[in-house]
Amino acid sequence: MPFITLLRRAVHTWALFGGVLLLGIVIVTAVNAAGFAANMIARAFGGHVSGVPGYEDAVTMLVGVAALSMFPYCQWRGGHAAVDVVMQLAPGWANRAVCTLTSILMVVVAVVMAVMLTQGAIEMRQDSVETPVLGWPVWVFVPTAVISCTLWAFVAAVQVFVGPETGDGP
Amino acid sequence: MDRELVGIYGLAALFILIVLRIPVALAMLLTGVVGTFVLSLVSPFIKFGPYLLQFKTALWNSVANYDLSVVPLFILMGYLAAETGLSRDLFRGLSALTRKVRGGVAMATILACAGFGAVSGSSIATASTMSRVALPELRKLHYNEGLSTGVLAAGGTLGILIPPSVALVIYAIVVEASIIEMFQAAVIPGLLAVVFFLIVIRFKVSRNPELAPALAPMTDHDVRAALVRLVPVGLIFGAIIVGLGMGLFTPTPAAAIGVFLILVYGGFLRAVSAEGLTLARLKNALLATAKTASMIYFILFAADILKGFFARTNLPAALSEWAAGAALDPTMILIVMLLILIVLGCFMESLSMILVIVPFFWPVLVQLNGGDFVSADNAAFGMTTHDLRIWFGILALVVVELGLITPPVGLNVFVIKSFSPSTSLGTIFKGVSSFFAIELVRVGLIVFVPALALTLPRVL
Repeated sequence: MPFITLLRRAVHTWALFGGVLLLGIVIVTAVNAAGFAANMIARAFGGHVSGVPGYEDAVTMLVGVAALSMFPYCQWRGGHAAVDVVMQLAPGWANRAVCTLTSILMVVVAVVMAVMLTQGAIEMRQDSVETPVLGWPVWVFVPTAVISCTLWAFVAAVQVFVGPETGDGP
Repeated sequence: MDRELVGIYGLAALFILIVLRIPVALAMLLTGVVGTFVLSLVSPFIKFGPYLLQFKTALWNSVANYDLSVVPLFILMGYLAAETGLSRDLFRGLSALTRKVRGGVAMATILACAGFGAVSGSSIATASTMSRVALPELRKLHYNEGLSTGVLAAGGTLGILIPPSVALVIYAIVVEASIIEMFQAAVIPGLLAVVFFLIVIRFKVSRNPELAPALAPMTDHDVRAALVRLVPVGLIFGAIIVGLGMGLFTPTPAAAIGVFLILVYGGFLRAVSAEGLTLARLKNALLATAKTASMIYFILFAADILKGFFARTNLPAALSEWAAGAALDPTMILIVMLLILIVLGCFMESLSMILVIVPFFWPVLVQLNGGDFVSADNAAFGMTTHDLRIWFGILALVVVELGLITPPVGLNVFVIKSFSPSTSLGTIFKGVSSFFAIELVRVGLIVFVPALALTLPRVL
């Protein structure tokens, strides 16, 4: 399988993984909200129903993983907001030059982020950084961010040569 | 070289990079990092090596943030609503209700834009989704091309203000305002826009009836079918808006419950008909969310880095000191700020604009008003800093909206043009011009009657 096809599949799958985590947040929230509603009723009868313990901790970690897993897909689809007013009047070579420069800069940013996040995860583990309520070790979640940044760097590197995927669809 | 001068060069470099079509977030990040490096050369107190260490956790900390978890959830809600057909049901139901009135389908388009804007929270998404749904119908009914496209471009702008809106969330985070209070404050100005747009359509059609032909009445069966589909849409959208407005939910649970309700309804529709939510549509919604949410998260991360750079240059503080010392008319300065936002709003993405510009304008406004702890009686704008924060936020977002339909480069107009390539830009701008004019009236009203924005947060 050619590298670009493989990368495309990996990027789509990774973004959908992030989407599934978002759906996980939705389900946890629905259960939490149902818990609060049940508690309001139970209190009238002297009872108590608790919500999901550490709900905010769980959402914070899940959304961190989910958000970063979507970065490579956004890069793949050329989704980062840019102002096109002046450059649409510029000649083709100037536009191609800007696209190439942008992709190179994105590679640099993504690689630096991957390296920095790796160091950050190691330090978080050494410092035993935990979420406030659930006490989950934060470093456990950061490797997914490193994977996201690595994929992001690969996508940007490919785009130095072929440009972003355009066309209809998400 | 002064630190402030580095800040001014940094600002100039940022705008040059943006104009060169470097993605806004990347331009912000580069300006922040390179600018700080330059600062470390001119200021002995700023060390570049230790500064770089923040990047070990900066990206993670900016995405793993409970307050911001509302952003991807609201975006997902908007895309799911479109994929499930809620936007279409909303438009058809409202069309059935307004069809008897001349120009009624154009009015239904505005109302549907307001309803969909509430869940999508984005003007561009509202304009593109509603164009897909409403434009073919308006064409089939022989509505004038300028009126149809103008209505869609103007209606699309409602997404940014009608709560819950992602832009309101971001603004609230930037100036440390309450998200719920911002939502409450946006209700009356948002509804005012809807009413004004409906008046414009009525006025235009009564002056030139050919713009909107009289339509044959729908059969009772068709009207009933359209209205039946409107009920669940109204219940889902209503539950979120009322729940937020009444303070029953905080934003993240509201967005998550909205997604949950749409998933359940979409699944139910699929079970009883060929419509509703399929796996392919769910996948489309998730991928579209991935694209939009990461664009926003990257901007937020980069804005944090840029904010750090500008804070080190002392530029925002110097500007506010200058404003405090100069004998400036606060209202005139406010109007100049709003004009700058309109001009930038023509071509700049609204969130990036809020993140870049508001941190400069906000301290100046606070100083012009009389400082952080001024009482309403002694304040230049006649309100406390807390109220100023809310009022200016609403004003800023209204003028950003206005920028989206401002000739010659209003972004929404280009979105509509992409759905209607045969319509000239001139026709669309002509169609949208009366909506632009009434928007100016609305801005004036909010400037001179702040109660329009401040009443609901005070009452609720």
